[in-house]
Amino acid sequence: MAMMKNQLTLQNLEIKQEKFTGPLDLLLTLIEERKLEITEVSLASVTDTFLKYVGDLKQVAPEILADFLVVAAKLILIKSKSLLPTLELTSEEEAEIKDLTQRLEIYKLFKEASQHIKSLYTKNPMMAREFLSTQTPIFYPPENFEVLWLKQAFEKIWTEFSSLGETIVEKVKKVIKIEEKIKNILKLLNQKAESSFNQLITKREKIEIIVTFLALLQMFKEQIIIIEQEENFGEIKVVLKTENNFNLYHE
Amino acid sequence: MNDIEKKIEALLFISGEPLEIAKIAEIVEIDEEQLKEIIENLRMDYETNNRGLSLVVFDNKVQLATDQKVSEVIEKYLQKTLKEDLTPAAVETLAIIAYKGPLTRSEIDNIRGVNSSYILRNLLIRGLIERDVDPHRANAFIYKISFDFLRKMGLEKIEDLPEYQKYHNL
Repeated sequence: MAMMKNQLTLQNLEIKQEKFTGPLDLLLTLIEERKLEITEVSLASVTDTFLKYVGDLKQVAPEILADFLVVAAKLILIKSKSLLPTLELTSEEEAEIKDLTQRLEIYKLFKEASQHIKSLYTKNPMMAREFLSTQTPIFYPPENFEVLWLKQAFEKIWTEFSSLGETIVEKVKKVIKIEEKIKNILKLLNQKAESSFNQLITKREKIEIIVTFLALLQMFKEQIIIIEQEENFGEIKVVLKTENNFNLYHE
Repeated sequence: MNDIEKKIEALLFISGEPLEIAKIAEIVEIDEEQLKEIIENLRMDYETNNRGLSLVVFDNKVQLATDQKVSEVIEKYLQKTLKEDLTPAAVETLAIIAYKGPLTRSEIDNIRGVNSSYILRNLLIRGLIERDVDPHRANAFIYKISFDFLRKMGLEKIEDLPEYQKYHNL
């Protein structure tokens, strides 16, 4: 099951976040549903609902989940402050809270602006002459052109082509794609939480080693996995990141 | 319409595509700043005389297009409907780029509060936005709306967006 989910998230990233475009959108909706202004107090009051929604977010890409968690962490801070008036916050934490309310205000304005885009888009479009796409190709030979040139050119290509013989056909081999490799690695990592670079390579061919390495780099960049290498040229340990992080906030 | 305006109109007609203002200046042999004024006159000329054509001016380019008031008859002629849907994420991202652009992906992410790489890729493929290398950082891109998007909105220039100044100056 877990494997299926990961495959889904890789393919349908944007589609999967059905209802809300992001954490700010969710937060703003929650506040507006309760007809509140954007203040610390109202943020504290919607924290529980926000966290519940994030808890239900399972089919979302790791990087998008991360954006939700960043906001969730700030909300927990705000909520703690409202529950424990004696709680002393650092100036950095205070600034973070202020930053969240300010960004929410700006987001709200752009949300309003979006309505203009929505109402005007393709309502009364202006069309341009699709001149180039409908233009028929013109034969435009160089000066002093002779038909013989065509024959010569063709013969030249033909000799080169025939000298190549069968080799062309033989060179075409099945190559693994990075996407495929990422899927395979995800599958493996879902079966056992930890693996290593050497375990992930099955055929030990040069191309496979390169593709595997690129796949790991890509997954690391997308924050799907954690990579550890204790010494130079040592074994590279690979651990799945998603579920761990998620549980941290979920419990 | 004076001779220069006639030449420009003819060039825009035959090209059909957005033409660089600098390129027109080179062809009609005229100073670029002066040309910008002439193009603005030409644009006003179409607008005030209630013509079937309009000038779209954006990003130092100009394009001759059909006026938005006649879109229905053009759609009928082209036998295609140009109505297409935008997802909430697409609308939101387009609004930010249209009102605030050009801007970098991190600026867009910051306003939306969420990673925008997939939606940006999607909008690029649909030709609704364009990207250039960031003049301040060679390893980053800046995103701006496309001519096509402007025409789909029925706008002659980006400043014609409702409440443009209000959101642009945020």
